[in-house]
Amino acid sequence: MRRFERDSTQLVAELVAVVGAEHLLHKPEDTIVYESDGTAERGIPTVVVLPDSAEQVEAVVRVARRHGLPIVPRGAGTGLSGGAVPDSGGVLIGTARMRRLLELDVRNQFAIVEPGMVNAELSALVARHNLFYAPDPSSQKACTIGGNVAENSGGPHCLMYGMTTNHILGLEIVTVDGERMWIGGANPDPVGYDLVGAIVGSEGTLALVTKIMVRLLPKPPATRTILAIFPTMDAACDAVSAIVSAGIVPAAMEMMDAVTTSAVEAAVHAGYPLDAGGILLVELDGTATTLAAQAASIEAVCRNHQVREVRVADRQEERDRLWAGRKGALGALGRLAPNYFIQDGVVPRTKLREVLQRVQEIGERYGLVVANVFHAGDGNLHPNILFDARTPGIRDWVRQAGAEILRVCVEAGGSITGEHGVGVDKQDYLAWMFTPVEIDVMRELKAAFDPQGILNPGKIFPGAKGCGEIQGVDRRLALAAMV
Amino acid sequence: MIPERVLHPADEREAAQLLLAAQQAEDAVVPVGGATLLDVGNAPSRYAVAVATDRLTGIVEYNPGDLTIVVRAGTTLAEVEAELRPHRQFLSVQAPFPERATIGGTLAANVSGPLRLAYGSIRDAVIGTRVALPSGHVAKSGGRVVKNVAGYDLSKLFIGSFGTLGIIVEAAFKVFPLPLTRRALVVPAAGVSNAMDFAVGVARLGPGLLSLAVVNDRLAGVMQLEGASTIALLGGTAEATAELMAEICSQAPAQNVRVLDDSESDAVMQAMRDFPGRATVRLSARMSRPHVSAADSSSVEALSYPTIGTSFLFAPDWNGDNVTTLRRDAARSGGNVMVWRRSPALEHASTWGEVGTELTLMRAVKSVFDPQRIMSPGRFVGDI
Repeated sequence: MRRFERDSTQLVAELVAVVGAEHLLHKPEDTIVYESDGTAERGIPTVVVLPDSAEQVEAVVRVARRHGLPIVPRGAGTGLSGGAVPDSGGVLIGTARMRRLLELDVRNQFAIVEPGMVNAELSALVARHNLFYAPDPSSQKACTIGGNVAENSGGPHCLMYGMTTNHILGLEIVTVDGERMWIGGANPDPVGYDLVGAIVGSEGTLALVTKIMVRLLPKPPATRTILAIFPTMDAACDAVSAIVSAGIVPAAMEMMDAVTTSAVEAAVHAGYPLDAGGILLVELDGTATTLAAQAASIEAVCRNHQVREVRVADRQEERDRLWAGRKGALGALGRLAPNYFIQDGVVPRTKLREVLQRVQEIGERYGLVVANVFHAGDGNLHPNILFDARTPGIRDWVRQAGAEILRVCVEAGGSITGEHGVGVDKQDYLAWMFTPVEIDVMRELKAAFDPQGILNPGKIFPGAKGCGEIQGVDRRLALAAMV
Repeated sequence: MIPERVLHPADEREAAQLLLAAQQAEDAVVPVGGATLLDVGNAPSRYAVAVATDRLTGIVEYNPGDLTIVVRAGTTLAEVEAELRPHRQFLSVQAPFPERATIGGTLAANVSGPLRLAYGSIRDAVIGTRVALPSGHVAKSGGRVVKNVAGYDLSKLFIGSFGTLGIIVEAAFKVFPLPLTRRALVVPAAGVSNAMDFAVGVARLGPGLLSLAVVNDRLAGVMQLEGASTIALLGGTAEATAELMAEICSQAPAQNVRVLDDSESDAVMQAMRDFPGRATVRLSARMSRPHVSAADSSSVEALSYPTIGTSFLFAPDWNGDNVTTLRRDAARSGGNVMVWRRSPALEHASTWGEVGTELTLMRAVKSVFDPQRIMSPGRFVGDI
């Protein structure tokens, strides 16, 4: 028996002892299921472990360490940066079985959940106490709180409520040494450095998370959704700035361009006019009195910016109908092209109009159609570059156009990623935002937590891409994140 | 403690160079802003150089339409407020003595202020920082946009680091539109326990509540209020504020709610903002029991934020035993007690209390930024 095979038999035996044979996958036909996330990045894990408890995670980490294997944590695999892709092989720890609500404290408005808890499920579980969990990524029906913690996920409503990092009170973590501990917690002023703040958004590279204490918020007494139809994107962008300048911070403020609208209308029949240039969806949370005043101001602002039509909804079913187009937008893009490459750039809100024009120009220059559907209120763009992956050479073009778009965002004073994370997908661009010294400081932090670089290797840092086996996958294909 | 010398770098680069020189000379450095909370934390074990941020001042960038502002660390909170006010915007972070308190010092001491209920803590308001490090470099983390997940969020480690990692030289904040109207209410209660229950109950009314605090008898006396009370600050449109006010009044135990006029309201909010500037103890715990037991005393002035879980106490007579007792009580609900400004009787009390196994990770963090341990050595938890 060759040495690798002997080692791998030993590895499997040790992991089976921890989680049981049915929760350890090592046959190629099983492990290939875990080769990708929401991107086209690929990498096949050596083994997939599905632990049931924090204690098991701890034991798995110790085993992986003994064998010198990388460890890659994975939630639902909906990530859009390649963060959960085991592109250096190793032990993939899936959290699918760790999805319990462990504690709910209604009076103090917090819950402790396992990392595999699905985002939308958490809000559903606490709804009868009139509470909700605020961060709401578009994938919330599938994505997990653990994955949200890794990526510091956002969502439409983080305009008012903030990102995941603003809602995580404490974490139980397992360090690379296999040591399990709580950091942060219900204490509003934890003692010492804010380790929770550093680990949220660290993309699984600093520690593994086994329990999560989340802040819950009381449901707003009333919610109103306003859909405003503009003749041009410019007019819609100006309306966004004017709403913010009027002193209103809506719960969400989303925008769609004409390309997206046409696809959405065909798919969802949301009742959007096909010649609309830009559609703005504004959601307000608050008391009924406040909403009435804010809605009146917003309508007035929209009228000053050539709005063609304003629709308002208060009742849940009506609001759902207005949101249907936005929520179904990404799916509907499939009507226009077989593939799209989603970007996640951020710009200062006041630069939206100018940057969107440049995005449009870039698309035209490459002969690629770009569909914009995004979080306008906080300047978080999601330009979707449409393409057909069967066209020879197209992936390089798409990738290059995407890079140019992000470059424009950075030049406008923004960021290469607002909520998807750097992962594998955007690590080449990190140096556009940070100096080599700044990136080195981050590397040193990584080394302080994980000296051997075992935790989710090949992520975030430029040139960190997995140098391990990428079984049978064309590297260039892997580079173009396609959905 | 008195440093051997005080240095006043002209810009961030010079600040970093001074740190590098100090590291080479093995001189301990304490960063100094407005010196309003400089004695919070342990006294440093060594203190050769004070690096003042008084020349690192000014607004770097402010676009009202972006609701963000970038300021140098030596800028006072009052200066930032003055910049924002003409645009009807404000900084959600409030610290004692804003005419002197600087942005850098407020971040280092992790002070959020009375508006935390509505706007979150200081860590929620920060979107980026620049720090000068003992390596001689200036490093940025985060940025100037409200949403950004590129790279590690190092800003979080500097917030509340009490000058033990480097010097914060610049910070970017989210700012907020000023509410159209603001109104403060004082609801007297029979004792702090009832006042805290009332505050927690009222919090359920939700949006429009900017602050909910409880003062005990003794602090009420200092603030010229009639006994233990809940103080509520409301903000929003005139109609919404009036509606919320009526709702709170209807829930009040007795019909003696006092609606403060503007100048009274300003005075009360100012007293709440400034109280941590003289408080000797900070108690943090979600459960109300330790807060009640600490505040229910005629020798202590207590300001509690029951819906947050933080109390500031001015307890001039307290010694280390009092702190230990309260600490034990707080620990039962995962909380802790920090000796805030050290009175003579608290000279030997442990400042930070106990930390668990996570101290190993905190030491690892320290070694990344300040491997030679020149930054405020010994001031922080675990003698960091």
